[in-house]
Amino acid sequence: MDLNRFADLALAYGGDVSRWPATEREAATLLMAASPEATSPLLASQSDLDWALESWRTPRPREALEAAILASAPVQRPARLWRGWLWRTGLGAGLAAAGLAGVVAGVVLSGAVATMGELEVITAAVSAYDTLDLDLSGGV
Amino acid sequence: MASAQDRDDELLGRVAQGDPAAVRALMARKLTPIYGLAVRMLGDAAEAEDVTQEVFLRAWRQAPHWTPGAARLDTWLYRVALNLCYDRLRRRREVPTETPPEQTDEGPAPDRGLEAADVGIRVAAALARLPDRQREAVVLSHYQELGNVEAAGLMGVSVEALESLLSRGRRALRVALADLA
Repeated sequence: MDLNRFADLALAYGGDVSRWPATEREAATLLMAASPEATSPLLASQSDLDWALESWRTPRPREALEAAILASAPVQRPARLWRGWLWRTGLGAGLAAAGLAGVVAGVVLSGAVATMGELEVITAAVSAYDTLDLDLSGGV
Repeated sequence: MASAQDRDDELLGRVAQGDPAAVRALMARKLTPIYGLAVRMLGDAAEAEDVTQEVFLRAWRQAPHWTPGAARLDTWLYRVALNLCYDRLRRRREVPTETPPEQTDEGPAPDRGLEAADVGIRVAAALARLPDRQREAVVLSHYQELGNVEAAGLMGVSVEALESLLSRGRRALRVALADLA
């Protein structure tokens, strides 16, 4: 690294070599050790601006902003939570088994004795059961 | 040990599942840098809040589609934030407003002390007067402390062009703040 490149880097990145690009730091440090009288003024000429820039502190984000961002975040669907609780407590499995047994029994009986009108009622009941959306695989 | 990118990817995956703890953790990590970037690009706290909120809204929408390891979340967030800032800066030029910018450079006064807050106000005003690209270079490099390759990538320029923008920006700032710097 020559002095011109050192001056360019000081002008671009400031008087603190630790903030310069990592790929340039070692060569800059060697040049500083070899020519302190030439490199020190170049760094010093930038440190006042660095200090001034650091004086501008941005305010903390307001709590209202944080609240608004939180309110817009994705949330777990309550239905899934409820279903998970059902399965964890075993109630879901019991309900599903009872419901399924009822439907199976109804279908078997209807095959033997039901009229056409009753078959329509049973079919509607099976459809209604399907819409319960219970996860029989045990997934939460 | 997981890298910052791995942790961001993991958090965003949990955000997509609606995990409220992950939402809070991601916000704790990213809110201040994004808000700081917007404040320094726009020089207006209220507009910076709008931009910050929109950045997070887009992040929440993006979460289910995020591919871990494909890109750095910080880079994506900064890119979105910068685009939104530029939209607003463009609108300001197209629609002149009667109200002056929030922060104005009052200039040096005989009895003006060098309180850090005073200097900060002067710096904010000087930065606001820089050409947009020079301001962006200074904000990304100095305030956001991005490496030169990352900052240049975000700006879509070479490292040499970034250094040129930084040099011109800092030179203009030194002139504007000659009584301080």
